[in-house]
Amino acid sequence: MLPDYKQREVTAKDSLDVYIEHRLLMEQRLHQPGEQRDPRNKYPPELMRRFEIYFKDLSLNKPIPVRDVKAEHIGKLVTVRGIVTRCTEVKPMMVVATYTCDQCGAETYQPVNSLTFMPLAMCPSEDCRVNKAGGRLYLQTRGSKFIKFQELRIQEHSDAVPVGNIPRSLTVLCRGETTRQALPGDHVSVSGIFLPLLRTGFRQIAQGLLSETFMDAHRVVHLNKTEVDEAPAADLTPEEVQQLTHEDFYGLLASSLAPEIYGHEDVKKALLLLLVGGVDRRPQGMKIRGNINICLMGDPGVAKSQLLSYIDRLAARSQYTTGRGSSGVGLTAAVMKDPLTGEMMLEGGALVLADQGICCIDEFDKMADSDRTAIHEVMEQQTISIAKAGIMTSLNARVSILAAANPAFGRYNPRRTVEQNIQLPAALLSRFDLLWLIQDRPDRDNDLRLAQHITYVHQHCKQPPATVQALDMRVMRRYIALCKKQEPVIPEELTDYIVDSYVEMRKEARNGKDMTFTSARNLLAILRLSTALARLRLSEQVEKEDVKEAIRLTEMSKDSLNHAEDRHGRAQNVMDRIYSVIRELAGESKTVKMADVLERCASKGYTPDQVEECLEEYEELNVWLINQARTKITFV
Amino acid sequence: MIPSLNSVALHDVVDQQLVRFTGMIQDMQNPEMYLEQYEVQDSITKQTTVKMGKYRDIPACGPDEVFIDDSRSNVHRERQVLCCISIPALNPWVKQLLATGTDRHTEVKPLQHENKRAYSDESASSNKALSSSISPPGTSVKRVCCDKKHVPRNVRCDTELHLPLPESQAKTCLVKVYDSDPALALNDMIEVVGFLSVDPRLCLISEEMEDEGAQFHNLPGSLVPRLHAVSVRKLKHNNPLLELNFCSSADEVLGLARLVRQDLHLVLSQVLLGDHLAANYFICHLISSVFQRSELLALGQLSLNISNVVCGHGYTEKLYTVLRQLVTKSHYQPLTIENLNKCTFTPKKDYDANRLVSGILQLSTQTHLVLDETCLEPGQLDSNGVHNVAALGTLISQQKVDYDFQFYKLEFKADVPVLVLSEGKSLLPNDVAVPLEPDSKCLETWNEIFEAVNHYLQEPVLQRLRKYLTAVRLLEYCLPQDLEQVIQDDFVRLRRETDTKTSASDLHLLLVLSRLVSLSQGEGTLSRESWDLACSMEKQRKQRINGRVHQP
Repeated sequence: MLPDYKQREVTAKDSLDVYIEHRLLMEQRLHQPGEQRDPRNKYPPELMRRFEIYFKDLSLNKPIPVRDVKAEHIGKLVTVRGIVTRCTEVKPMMVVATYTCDQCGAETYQPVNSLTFMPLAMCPSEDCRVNKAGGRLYLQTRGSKFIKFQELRIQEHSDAVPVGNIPRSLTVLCRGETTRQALPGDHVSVSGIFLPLLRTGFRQIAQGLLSETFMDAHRVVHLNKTEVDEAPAADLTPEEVQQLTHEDFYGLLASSLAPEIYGHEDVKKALLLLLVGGVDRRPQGMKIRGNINICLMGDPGVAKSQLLSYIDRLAARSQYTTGRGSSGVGLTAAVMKDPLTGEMMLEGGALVLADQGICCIDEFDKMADSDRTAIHEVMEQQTISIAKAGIMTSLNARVSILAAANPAFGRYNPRRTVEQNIQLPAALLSRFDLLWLIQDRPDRDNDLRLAQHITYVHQHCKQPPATVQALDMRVMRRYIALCKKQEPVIPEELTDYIVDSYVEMRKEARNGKDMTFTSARNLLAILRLSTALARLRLSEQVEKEDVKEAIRLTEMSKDSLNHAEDRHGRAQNVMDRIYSVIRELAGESKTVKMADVLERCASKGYTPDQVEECLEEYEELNVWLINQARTKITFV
Repeated sequence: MIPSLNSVALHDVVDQQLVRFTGMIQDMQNPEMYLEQYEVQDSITKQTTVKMGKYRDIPACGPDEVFIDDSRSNVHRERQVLCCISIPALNPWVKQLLATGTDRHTEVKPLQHENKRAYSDESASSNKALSSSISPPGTSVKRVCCDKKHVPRNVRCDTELHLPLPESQAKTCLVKVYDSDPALALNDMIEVVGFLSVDPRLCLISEEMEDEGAQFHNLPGSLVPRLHAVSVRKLKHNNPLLELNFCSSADEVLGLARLVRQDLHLVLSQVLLGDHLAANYFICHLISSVFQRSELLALGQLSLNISNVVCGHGYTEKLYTVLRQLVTKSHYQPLTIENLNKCTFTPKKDYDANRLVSGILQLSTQTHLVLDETCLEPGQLDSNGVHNVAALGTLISQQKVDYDFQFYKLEFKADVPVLVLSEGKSLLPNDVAVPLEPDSKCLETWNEIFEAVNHYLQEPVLQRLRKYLTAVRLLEYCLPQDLEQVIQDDFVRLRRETDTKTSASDLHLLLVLSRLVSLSQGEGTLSRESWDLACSMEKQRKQRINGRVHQP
C-alpha cells in the first residue's frame, strides 16, 4: 500500500484524491486482468472523476423567454434570461454512495442520479453471498462522493410579461461549479437542459400524469445592469428598421414620446436628445459631461408631470422622485449603521441608483435649498463626494436630470426674471442645458387642432392617422440603446461655425432683452445636443445640420422664456430691469451703496450711462433719493 | 343543467362530474406539464393500452394495470393553471338570484347520487388497488396524511390570502385550461365548464411535497377543488337579470331607457338631498367604463368626488346601501387612518408560497368602489399608508394598479369606477368634483327620505334599474361626423372665454360626459342635445365650485 518514492513534491490533494489513488492501487494489486467482477463492486466512473463537463449554448442561439420554454423543449439545451427570485443554500448532494460491509469489509458503490435514493442494506459481495454471512452495509461519508448543489428559481423580466399576465418562473438545479453564481434579485442568463423531474417510489405513481419540470443548469451567467439593458438592442427586426428609416425619423421619434400629449414638438425633441445623451469627453483628466439636463417649467396642468412619468417609463434606467418627498441625502447617498454588525455603510440615493440613466425630479421648486445644493456637483461633475462618519469616497452619478418646476406664484409672471419666477438660484439654473417654459395660451389655430385631435381620439378610439404612427415603447427603447453605442466626434471644419454662432449668441444676449443666461455652459450645451443628434442618426460625425438644430433648440428654449413677455403687457425696458436689479440688491434694507449698484449692473451687462439714466428717472418719480455725494441710494 | 360550484356544496358533487364555475382569475400559476397520452400495462396479461390523459390528474389504471413511465407513446403537453375565486364584492341581490337560479335545477340530483355511489365504489376499489401495490412506507404516509386532512394546518387562512376582500362564502378553485387562450388576463371574469377533480389521492401528493412553494398548488381538493376546463368564456357583465349577449332583451331595455333614467334620477336626487346636478353626475358615474386607453390615459372613466357631505353620522352608509341595491358589484371602504395603514391595497407576490397575495384593489371590471373620506381623522400615515394612498391615486387617475412583484412592479389595468365621499376637497384625485348643495328641507328629514326611497325600491322597479344600468353601459357608441365641427368650435370658444382655464383634459372630460349622457338616455350616437346638456352640466358645476371658493 505504500506509495512509490517520488522525486518531486506531490501536489496538494484532498481526501478524495487519496481515496482515488488508493482505489486505483487496490484495483491493480488485487484483481487479475480479465477477471469477472460484480459490477456493483467496480468503481463507478463518477467516483474517479475530478472534472465536470458543461455545455455552452451556441453563441448564435438567442435566449428564449421563460414563457416559451414548453413541452417541446424537454431534453434540449436552452438559454433563458430572468431574475433570480429564490435560491437555496448550497448543500452537498451525494453522487456516489460508498458502503462497507461489516462482515467481509468489501466496498460497495451506488451511483445516485436522482434527488432521492434508497440506501442499500445488504452486502452484495461474493463472500457474503456464498457464506450467507448477511453482512450489513454502512455508509461511508468520507469515501462517498458529494457535489455542490443549489436550487434557483428564476422569473421572467417585467418587459417579457404580456399584458394582464402573471410572470412565469422556472426552477433551475445547479450542480458543482454552476452553484453560487447568483443571489436573489440578480439578473442571470442560464443555459441548461429542460427536463421533467423524476420522482421515485410512491410519489411517482400518485403523481402519474403530472410532471414537474426543471432546468439542469450548464451555465449560469450573472448579467450586470448594462448587459440587461443593452441585451435587446441588437435585434431590431427588419420591419422595425423599416419604420425607423422614415424620412423624418427625428420628428417621428420625438412625436412617439408620450403620443397622448398633444403638441410641444420641440420639448419632445429635447427630451428625445436627453434620452440619447451626448458624448462624454475627458481631455487631460478634465471631465466634460455628455448627459443633458433639462428643466421644464410651466403653469400647472400643462402635462409636465405626464411627460416626466413617460420618460421615466421609457428610459432603461431611471428614478422618479418628487422634490417635496426627497431630501438631499435621499437623492445622493446616506451613511447608515448596519443594525446587525454596527458597521457604517453607504446607501445610494436616487441619483446614485440612476447612474447612467435619468433622474426625473418633479416639483423641483418645492425642494429645500439645502437639499438642492446637493445636486450641483452631480449636474456638472457627475459624481457625489461623501465625507461623513469616517467614510470618504466619491460615487459615480452619471445621470441626466429632468426636472419639472412650477412657477413660484402659481402662474408664470413674465415681468419677473426666471430666478424670481421659479425660485431657483442662477447657479443651479445655468447647469441645465435647456430650460423650457411650457405655457398655456389661447390661440385659435392651435386650439382647433387640439380639439380635432381629441375628438378624433374619442370618435375612433385611436390616435389620428394623420399624425405619423407612433412607435412602440419597446422599439424606441431598443433604438435608443443602439444610438447610445455611437461615439460621434465633431470635425475640425465645424469649429469655426460653432464659435461664430456662439459669439453671435453672446452678442444677442447682451443687446437683446434676454431674461436667461448665455454663458460658456451654453456652448457646451450646444455641443452636447449636436453630438446627441449625431448619435440619433447613428452617425460617427457631427454635421453642420446637427449644430444648426442644436442651436435652434437652444434658441427655442430661450424664446419660450423671453417670448412670454411679448404677449402680456408692455415689454420691460432696460430702465425697468436696472430698477429691479437695484431693488433686488437692496433687499430688505432701505439703502444701497452706489458702488455696489454700479458693480452689479456692470456685471449684468448694463453700461454706466444706462444706470445713470435709470437712477435719474426713478429719482424724478420719487422712488428713491440719492444723497449729495452720489454714494448712497435711499428708497422712499 | 350542469350544477354550479358557486352554489352547490362540494359534498354534493362527485369526482369527475361536469360542473360550472363563475369566477375571477386571481392568479396564474406556472403551466403544468402533463401526459396527454400514456401507456399502461396489464400486469397479468402483459397487454399494453394507450390512454388519454386530458382532463385528469391521476392516471386511470385498472386494478391490475401498471403505469409505464418511460413508454414511447407518452406525449407531454402543457396546460395552464388559473387560480380562480368567486367574483369579489358581489352584492347580496346577485348572490341571492344566482342561488335561487340553481335551486331550479335540483331535481336532477337523485340521479347524481346514484352515480356517486357507483363512483365512490370504484374509487375505493382503485384506492385499495393502489395501496396494495405500493411499498410499506407508502401506506404509512397515507395514514399520516389522512389524519392531517382533518386538521388542515392554516389551510383556511391560506385560501383567504387569495381574496381581495374578506368574504365568508367565497370559493377558490384551480382551473386547468387546455389549449390555453392567451386572451385570458388577470382579473377577468370567466365562466368555466369542466370536469371536477377532487380525488383524495391528490392530497397524498401534496403531503409528499416538502417544497412549501407547492403547498397551495396541492391543497386538498375538499378546500380547493380542481376543474379541468372543457370550455372557458369571458363574461362581459355578471348581471343575472340579463343574458350574456343580450341581443333580444336589449331593445326592450333601451326603449324604456328614458323612463328608467327618470326613475333613477328621482331616486338619486332624493338620496343626494335634492341635488339634481349631483344626481345627473351620479348616473353618468354609474354607467362609466373605460373604452380606450393609451400609455398614460384611460378614456371613458368618470371618477366622482361628492364633497360637502356634511350631514350627520350614517349618511354615507345609507347612501351606499342604495347603491348596493342597484349595481352588481360594489365595495364600501371607509378611509380611516387605521384602514389605510393596516390594509393591503395592492396585491403582492409571495415567493415563499409562490402565490399572489391579493389586495383590496384587485377587483374585476365594473366593481364600484366607494371610498368614504368623511370618517378620516387627523393622524399619521406610515409608509404603508402613503403607499396605499398613492395606489388609490393611480387607480383613480389612470385606472391602473401596480402589483408588487418585489423585484419589480408590474402594472395591471383596472376598470373600477371610484366614488369618493368627502366633507371638503378630497385628498385623492378625481375626474369630477361636485360639491353637494343640499336642500335645507331634505337636510332635516334625510332619515325619512331613505326610508321612503327604500320603500319605493321594490322588486319590479329595482329590476328595471338594474337591467338598465348594465345594458346601457355595454351599448355601442359613436360620435357622428357632423357634430365634430360643433365640438371643436365650442372648445375654441370656451378657451377664449375662460382665458385658458379650459385645457385639453377639460375637453376629454366633456366628451366623456357627453358620451355618458347620451348612453344614459339609451342613445348610441351623440346628439346635439346631449352635447349641450353635458356642456351645461359642466358649466353649472364649475360655477358651483367657483362660488364655493369665493363664499368662505
